[in-house]
Amino acid sequence: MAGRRKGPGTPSGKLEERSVNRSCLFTSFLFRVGKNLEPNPSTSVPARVTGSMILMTSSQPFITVDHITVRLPNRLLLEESFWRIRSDEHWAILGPNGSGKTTLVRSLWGGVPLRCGSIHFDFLGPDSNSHEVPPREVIGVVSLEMHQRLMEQEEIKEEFRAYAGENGEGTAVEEVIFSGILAQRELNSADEARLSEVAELLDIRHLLSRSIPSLSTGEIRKILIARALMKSPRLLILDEPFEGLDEKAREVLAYSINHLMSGPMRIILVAHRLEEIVPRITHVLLVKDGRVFRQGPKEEILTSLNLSQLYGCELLLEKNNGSYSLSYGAEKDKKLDLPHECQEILPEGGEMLVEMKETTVKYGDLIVLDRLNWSMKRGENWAILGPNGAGKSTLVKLILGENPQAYANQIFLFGNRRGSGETIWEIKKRMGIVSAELQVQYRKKMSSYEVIASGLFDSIGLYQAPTSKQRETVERWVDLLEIKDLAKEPYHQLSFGQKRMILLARAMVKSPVLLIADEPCHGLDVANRRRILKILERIGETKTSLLYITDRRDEILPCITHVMRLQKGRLFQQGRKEEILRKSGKRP
Amino acid sequence: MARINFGGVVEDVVTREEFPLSRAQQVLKNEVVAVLGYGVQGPGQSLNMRDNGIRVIVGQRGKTPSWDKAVKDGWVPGHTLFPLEEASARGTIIEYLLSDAGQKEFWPKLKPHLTEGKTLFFSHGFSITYRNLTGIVPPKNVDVVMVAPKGSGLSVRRNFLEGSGINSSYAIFQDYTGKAKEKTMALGLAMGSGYLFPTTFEKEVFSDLTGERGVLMGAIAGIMEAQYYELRRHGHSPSEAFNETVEEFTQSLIKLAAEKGMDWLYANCSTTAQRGALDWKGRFRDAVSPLFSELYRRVEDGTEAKIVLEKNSQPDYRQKLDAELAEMRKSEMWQAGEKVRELRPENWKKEA
Repeated sequence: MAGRRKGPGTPSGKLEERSVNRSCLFTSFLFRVGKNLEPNPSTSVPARVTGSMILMTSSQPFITVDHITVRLPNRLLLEESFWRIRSDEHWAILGPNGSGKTTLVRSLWGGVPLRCGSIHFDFLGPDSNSHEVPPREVIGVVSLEMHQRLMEQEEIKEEFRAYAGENGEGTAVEEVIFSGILAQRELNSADEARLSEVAELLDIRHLLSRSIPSLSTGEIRKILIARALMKSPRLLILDEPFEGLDEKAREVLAYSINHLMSGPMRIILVAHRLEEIVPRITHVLLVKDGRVFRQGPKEEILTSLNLSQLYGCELLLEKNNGSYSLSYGAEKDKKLDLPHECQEILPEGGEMLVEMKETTVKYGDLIVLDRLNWSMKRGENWAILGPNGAGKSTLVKLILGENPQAYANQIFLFGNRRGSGETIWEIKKRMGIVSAELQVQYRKKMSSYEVIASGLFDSIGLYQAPTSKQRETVERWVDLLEIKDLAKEPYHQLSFGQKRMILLARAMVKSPVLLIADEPCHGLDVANRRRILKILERIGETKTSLLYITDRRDEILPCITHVMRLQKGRLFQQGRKEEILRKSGKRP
Repeated sequence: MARINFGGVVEDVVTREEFPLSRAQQVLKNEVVAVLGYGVQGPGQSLNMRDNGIRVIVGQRGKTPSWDKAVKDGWVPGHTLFPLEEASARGTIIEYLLSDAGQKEFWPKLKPHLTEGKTLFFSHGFSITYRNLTGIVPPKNVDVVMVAPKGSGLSVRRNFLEGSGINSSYAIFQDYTGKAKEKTMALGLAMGSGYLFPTTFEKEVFSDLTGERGVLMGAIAGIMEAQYYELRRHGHSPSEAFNETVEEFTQSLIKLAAEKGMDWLYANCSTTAQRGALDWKGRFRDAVSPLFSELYRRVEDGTEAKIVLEKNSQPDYRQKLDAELAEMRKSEMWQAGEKVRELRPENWKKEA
């Protein structure tokens, strides 16, 4: 255990005063701000790393974050933050959406400029204080931002291919993984061997020959982790690596991370769920409202009181065999008051909402959905469960009119066969969608209010002026979801979780007949998750039917009446909720 | 029709508010639109029309990557996807979206299927304008129309899915049925146009060929080379010469001009740059004006089109082209450009 700490759990910043000049005029390094995912190697000098390696066996300073203040485009954050990582510690960072967790870890690799303070990479040896840039060649990073950036790159490449009239498949997985190696050099046999090792560790061998656009969200996440591991980093920053992964993948990844922690590499894990804090995590840092709120040894920081204060709602921490979980404490439950539109959906289009007959989606030899027979009636709320790559997202896209193979199948929406002369706008008009994927697609620079209003026209971006009645509807939903402050902000400057709330409002403004919530809790903190689930539960009780896609059985809402389980593109089970969950041997 | 004042000249423009989708569906309700060619413009236009509830089929040569792409996009062989000739027979509106050379080649097989009252649709005016060279002379008893989206096929699709649209020009070459115009409007809106402005087949192709030979591609590369090598002759380094000639233009200045206009760009740069740019703009205009006159004349009289058709049909065209492009790529200027691009911060592939 790291010594020399005056008192664990004390508020941030003052744990160990050092005799450094903390004036903002003396900033020991400033980085370029760029749109880049990660640092530019041309500015770093790999040679210096190989100089003096420090033994990991004894407790030594590893990284010292010395009273930094970070500058964001519109404000300062993490003012005067102090954080010391020692060589025998692995840290987890917890905090609400938008609190500054990602900014804190970005500061480590130089992804945000420091207004003042400095960061010392003690593991590089005694001279490290003079470093002007972080040693990016030995820091591996995986983040949701990076995932988004990769998808943007893919879109640009698609544009190039289209311009050149090519029918290519997109970037090869291997190419992305190899791009994690720092040096601009030819690949050699050692790299191939490393790839093989990493692929084994993450169980992604079967994905290596694929292309990025053909992968599911969870699969891409694993590819990014592999990419970060390629350079055998000294520090691995995993910023919410579990989001978007299914249960099995989460278990495998947790095992891998825990295993990696037995080696010399130090890990910083930004997490949203207590279950993700793998046993070998020794220390926890809590970030709240742009400040370090608590930090110290895991056992002392993880308490019901600290976590309740952190998230601003009553939470109970349970500890079981070295792993943690949270449950919600008692709360005065006020019934949500939904706008009356929600109660007034006309029964147009009959009883059947969605009907699929022998529905198959394939790309060449790859079968994504295999002869699916399924229907959903008005008044039913369905949950679709399944691991990554089971076909859940494809199913959603067929319903939304976003997968063109809907036309090659027998799919009936609201009683009309797809391809019988309807427009996708008529279909979209009756549906709301909130998903992690929409969030990736929605990259407009506009006000959050306008993003919500764009739901009225099913557009990404706002191309029509809402009427005054429509504006009233938007405002009612803003009130209901308690996002008045967010709605005033520019959407692109919101945090990940805040954006999700805006997109939920966007889905609801038209009071859809069918609300599709595709992994709506991905990336959300405990409090936001609870809020979203509570609202969805309430929506499920109205005349809006809910189609809820998740990979977490623990998030199946009480209002869900039916469950479908997909596996490898095939319908595995479907029926009434109680029956299916009994069969699968787990309680909701 | 909305009358919009473009810098003092009033033009007629059709917007989707004036010609809503419901009307487009009504106009096209008894039509089968056969989109021939699933290459560059085909996918975007056909997918959008299908998503707008129009009856669409695709014609494409079998056993090609484009055929496979069409299948992935939900076109069903024998049902909505056919070989070119069969689609030509089944369609009442033929969207002729093969390449300019492909159109000339397939024409003898398409012509017999252009029976009375059908519509022949183009997205480019080339084949019709230069019909003396292409041999594409449509029968008198069909409508011949054009809608030309001002963007790549992919942006036609992406803008549609986002709920925005793309601006397009339209033209009518031959109106046999008396309904050519409303069909053209309907097709234009159904394929995802945000608004349509009128042109003629000739004007579309003349402006297109002039533009790509001139400012858009030919002239810009030419004056960049002239400036770059002038700087080099005076001892400037390749990176300096490239940055001052190309990089600053493409990475920042032209984006500002795109957003706010050239006068805004001039107004907000240093006074040194401002004075010089204003003084030299006119001199450059006067110097190149005669060249543009020559260019337009050659486009108009078919000289340029003739070169295109002759050169592009030579068996070793591809080989010669590769050599010409390699020469450009290997020139010092564009080699310097490659390095400058690598050094851009957002070039993530080269990063950690």
